[in-house]
Amino acid sequence: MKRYPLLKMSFTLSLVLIIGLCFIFTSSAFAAPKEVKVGLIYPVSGPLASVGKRCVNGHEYAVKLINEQGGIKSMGGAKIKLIVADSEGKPEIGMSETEKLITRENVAVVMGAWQSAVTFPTTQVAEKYKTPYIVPLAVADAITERGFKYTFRTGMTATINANLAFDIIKWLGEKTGKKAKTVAILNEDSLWGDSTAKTWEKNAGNYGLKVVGKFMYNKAATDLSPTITKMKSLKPDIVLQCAYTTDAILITKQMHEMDFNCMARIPSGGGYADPKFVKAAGKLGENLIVNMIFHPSAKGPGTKVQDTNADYQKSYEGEMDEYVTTAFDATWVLKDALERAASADRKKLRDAISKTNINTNNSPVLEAYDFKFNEKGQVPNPTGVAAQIQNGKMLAIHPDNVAVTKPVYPVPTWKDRGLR
Amino acid sequence: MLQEAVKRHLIWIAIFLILLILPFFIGTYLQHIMIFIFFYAYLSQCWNILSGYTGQFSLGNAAFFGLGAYTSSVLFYYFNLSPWIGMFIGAFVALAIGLFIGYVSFHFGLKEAFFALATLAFAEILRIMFLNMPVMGGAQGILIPLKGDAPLLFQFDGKIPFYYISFIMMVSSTIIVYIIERSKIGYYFKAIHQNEESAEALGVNARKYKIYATGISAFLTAFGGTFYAQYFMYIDPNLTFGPSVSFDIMLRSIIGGVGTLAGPIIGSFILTPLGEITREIFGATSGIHMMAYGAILILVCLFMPRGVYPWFRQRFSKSS
Amino acid sequence: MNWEIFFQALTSGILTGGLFALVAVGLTMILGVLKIINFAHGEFLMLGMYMTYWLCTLFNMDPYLTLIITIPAFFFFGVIIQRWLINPILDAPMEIQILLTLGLFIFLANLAQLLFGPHVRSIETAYTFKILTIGSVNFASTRLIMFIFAIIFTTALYIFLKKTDLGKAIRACSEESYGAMLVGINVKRVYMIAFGIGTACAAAAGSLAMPIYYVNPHIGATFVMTAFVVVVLGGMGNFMGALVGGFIIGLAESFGAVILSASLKQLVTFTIFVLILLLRPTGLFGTKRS
Repeated sequence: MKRYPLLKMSFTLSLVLIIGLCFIFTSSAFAAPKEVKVGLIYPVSGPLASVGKRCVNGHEYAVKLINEQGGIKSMGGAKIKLIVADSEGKPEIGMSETEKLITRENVAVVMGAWQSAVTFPTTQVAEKYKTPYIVPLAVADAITERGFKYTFRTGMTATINANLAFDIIKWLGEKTGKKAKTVAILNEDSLWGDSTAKTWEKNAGNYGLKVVGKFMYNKAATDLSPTITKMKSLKPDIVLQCAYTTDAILITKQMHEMDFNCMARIPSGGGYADPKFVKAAGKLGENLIVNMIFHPSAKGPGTKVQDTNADYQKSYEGEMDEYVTTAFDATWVLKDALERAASADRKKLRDAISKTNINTNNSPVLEAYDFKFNEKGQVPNPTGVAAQIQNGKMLAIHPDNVAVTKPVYPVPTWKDRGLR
Repeated sequence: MLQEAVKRHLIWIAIFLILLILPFFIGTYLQHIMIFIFFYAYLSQCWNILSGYTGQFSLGNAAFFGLGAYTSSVLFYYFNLSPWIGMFIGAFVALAIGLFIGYVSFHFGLKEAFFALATLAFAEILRIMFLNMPVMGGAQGILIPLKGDAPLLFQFDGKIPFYYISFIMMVSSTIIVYIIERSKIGYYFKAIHQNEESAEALGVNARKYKIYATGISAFLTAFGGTFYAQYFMYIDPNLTFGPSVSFDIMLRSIIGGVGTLAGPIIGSFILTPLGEITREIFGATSGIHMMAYGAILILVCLFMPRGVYPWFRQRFSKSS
Repeated sequence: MNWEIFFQALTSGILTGGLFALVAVGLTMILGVLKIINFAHGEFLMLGMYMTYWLCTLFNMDPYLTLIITIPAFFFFGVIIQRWLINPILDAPMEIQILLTLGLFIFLANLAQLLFGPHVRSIETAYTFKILTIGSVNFASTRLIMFIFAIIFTTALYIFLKKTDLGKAIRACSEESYGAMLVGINVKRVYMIAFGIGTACAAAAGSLAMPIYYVNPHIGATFVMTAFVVVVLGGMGNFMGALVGGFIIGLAESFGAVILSASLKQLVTFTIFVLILLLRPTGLFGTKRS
C-alpha cells in the first residue's frame, strides 16, 4: 500500500491541471449577439514580438474604424470582435492556438500569421475546419500553392516581391539614364531571405543584370565587416538585400565603417521598412532606397493614405508601415466580404471572400492595387512602393502614380555626404 | 504483497484505459494538447535514457530529432517513400550519428558540463549545415506534400490517429526504459551514473555503455522527429535542430524528475498544460505568460530541486 | 583573397574578438568558480545595454561614462541573484542548475520586453561617425574603444586575482572549494563576489557594445553561445585565456565569413569548439582538470 497514495497524488496533480484546462475552456464567455468573432494569430511575445505587435495594431485599428462606422451593416450593425492569440513564433503553439480560436472561440475567420513556418500548419487547421483564413503577409510562395479552398493571401509572395526590385532598378536606370549592370545579393538566412535571394539570382539575367556575388548571413551576426569588405572588392552597382531590423542597423553602420559605396542599395522591406530603423540609422540611412510593400507617404486617391496614417498615429506608436498596413487592408477585405455574405457562416463567408473585388480608389484600403483573388486564393498582381530616405524622411518615389518626390540616384558616396 | 501489486496495477490500468478512450470525449484542441504531452513525454523519456539513467547530460538531442525528421521527409519528398519506412531509416541515421558523437565524446573522456556543451555544439553544427544545404531545402525547409487521408503515408484526416501513435510512442518508450532499467545494461547505466570509477573497478566498460546509451537515445529520438514532420507537414532547420528543441525535450524530465521512469511523463503532463494555462490566464498581450513560465521553472528548482515526482515520493515516505 | 580583404578581416576579427572576450570574462568567472552553466549570462548583458541606453537617452550621459553606474549596479544585482537564486542550488544536480538559469533567462528576457517593449533601440553619439582608416583598413572608433576596455578589464581582473587576498581566495575556491573552506575562507561570500563580478562584467560588455550595436529584449541569446565557446577555449576560470580565446573566435568567424560565407562562419566556431573540447578540455592554457 505504501506507494499507492503517491502514485495517486502525482496523477491527481496532472489530472487537476488538465481538468483546470477543461474548465477554462468550457467557461468561455457567451457570444454577445450581433458580433463577428475574428481570430488573430501572431507572435506577440518572443523575439519576433516587435513585428507581431504591429500586425495586431493594424487589425485593431481597422476594426476600430469599422465598428465606429456602424459595424457590418448587412448584419444589422454587427460589430467585429478580435481575439488575439499568441503563437510565440512556434508552429506547435500556433497550431494549438488556432484550434482553440476555431473550436472554442468559434471565430468566423482567422488571420495571421506572418511567419511562413507558422502559417503552413495553421492554414491546414483552418482548411480542416472549413474556416476562412486570410493571410495579410507571409511570403512563402507555397502557402497559396497547396490547393487550399479556405486560404487567401491579400499580400505579396516572395517571388513577386523579389521581381519588383528589378522593376525598380530598371525604372531608376530609365529615369536617370544611368543603367546598373551588376548586382550583389546580401540576405539573411531565414526562409524569406533565402527564397528572395534565390529568385533574384535566377531572374537577374532577364533584366540584363549580372549577379557578381551572393552573401548569406545569420541575422544574429555580431560583425559583418569581412563580408562587406569582400563585397566591396566585387564593386557591384546595386546591392539587393533582405534584412530584419537588427541586422539592417548593423549592416548600415558597417557599410559606412567599411566605406562601401555603390549606385544604390535596394533592400526589400523587412527591417528597412521598420520606422525604428529610420530612427536608429539616422544620418547613415540617408538616400537609401527601399523596395517596400507599402509606405504611408505614397500618394493615394486624394489624401486617404495621409489622413489614415495621421489618425492612426493618434492611438499608436509609429507610422503605418507595411506590417500595419497589410493587416489593416486585410481587415477591410474581410469587412467587405462580411457585408456581401451578410452572415458569419464560414462557408458563405469563404465564397464571399473568393468573390472579392475591391477597387483601391473607392475603398478604405491603402495599398494601391485592386483586391481580387485568383483560383489559388492569391491576389495576382500586388504592387509595392519604392521609397527613399530623403532628409531623414522616407518618401515614395516609385511607381509614378504614388510617387511624391524624385529619386536621388546614383546615391552619393559617404565621402560626398561628408560622413567620412 | 499480491494485493498491493494488483492495486498498483489497477491504477495504471485505470489511467491507461482513461487515456485510451479519452480522445473521443475531448475536442481537437485538447487532443492536440494531449498529443503534445505524449510527444514530449516520449522525447524526454528517450533523453532520460542517456541523461537521466546514465548521467551523461545532453543539451543536443535536437540533433537526433532533426535527423529523424529530415531523413523521412527528404525520402518522402524526393522518392515518395512512405514515412513509415523513412522513420526507421531516419532512426538508423540518427543511431549512426549518435554512436559517432558518443564514440568521439567518450573516447576523449568528455564529462558533465563538457559533454553537455559538446552535444549542444554538435546540434548547432548540424543546424547550420542543413541551413546551408539547398538539397535539404536550406532555410526554406521542406513542405511535405499533402496526400489527404493516407494512413500508409503517415497522413491522417483527424487528430485521433496521431493521438494513438503518440500515445503508443510514449507507452512503448516507457516500457523500453522499464526493461532497460531492470536489465544488466540498465544496472551498468546506473552504476556509471553513480560513480564511474567504481563501476569501472567492478569491470564495467563505462565508455562502451555510455556510447550504447547515446545510441539508444538517438535511435528512439529520431522517431519523434518523423512524427513531428508528419504532424506539422513542414520542417526547417531551426524548428528541428534548434537549441529550443533540446531544451523543450529535457525540461520535461528535469521538472518531473531525472532518472525516474515516471519523471518525463509527469513532467510533460505538467509543463505542456502549464504553458497553455499561463497563456490563458495572462492573455496574449505582452509576454507576461512567458515571465510566469520562467518564474515557475525557477521556483521548481528552488523548492523541488530533484523534480516533482521525487519530491512527492519524499513527502510520502516521510508521512507514511 | 587579396591583401586588402586579408588585413580587414584580421582587424575586424581582433576587434570583434575583444567584445567576445569581454562577455566571456564574466562567464568564465562564474563557470570557473561556481561551476554553473549560466544561460542567463546574455540577459545580464542585455540589461546592461538597456541601462546604458536609458542613461544616455534620459540624462544625456556619455555611453562610456555610464560604466561607473552599470558596473556597481550589476555587481549588486549579481550578488542578489547569487544569494537568493544560485546559492540554494549550488549542491543540486547539474540539470537543476541549468533549469534555473534557463528559467532566469526566459524570465529576464520577457521582463525586459514588458518594461521596454519589443522594439530595437540604439543610441547615436559623437563617436558614431568617427571612422579610423589605416591604409585600406577601416574600423569605427567605438570598436577600438571597446577593444581597449576589454584588454584593460581583463588585465585588471587578472592582477586582482593574482595579487589581492580576495582574488587569491576566489582562485582557491575555483580550484578546490572544500579545501578553501577548511583553510578558513568564507566560501559563500567568495561565491557571491565572484557571481557579482561576473554579472558586472557582462553588464560592462553591454555598456561598451551599446554605441556599436542595438538592443532588444532578445539580444542576450546572440552572445551567450559564442561566450561559452570562448570560455572553454581559454579554459574555465582563466581570464587571459578568455581574452586570447575571444581573439581566436573573432578571427575564426572573420576569416570563416570571408572564406566560406557569413552564414557558415559559426560552423567554424563550433567545429573549433568541439575540437578543443575533445583534444584539450582544459582549454588552450589550462593545466589540470578539476
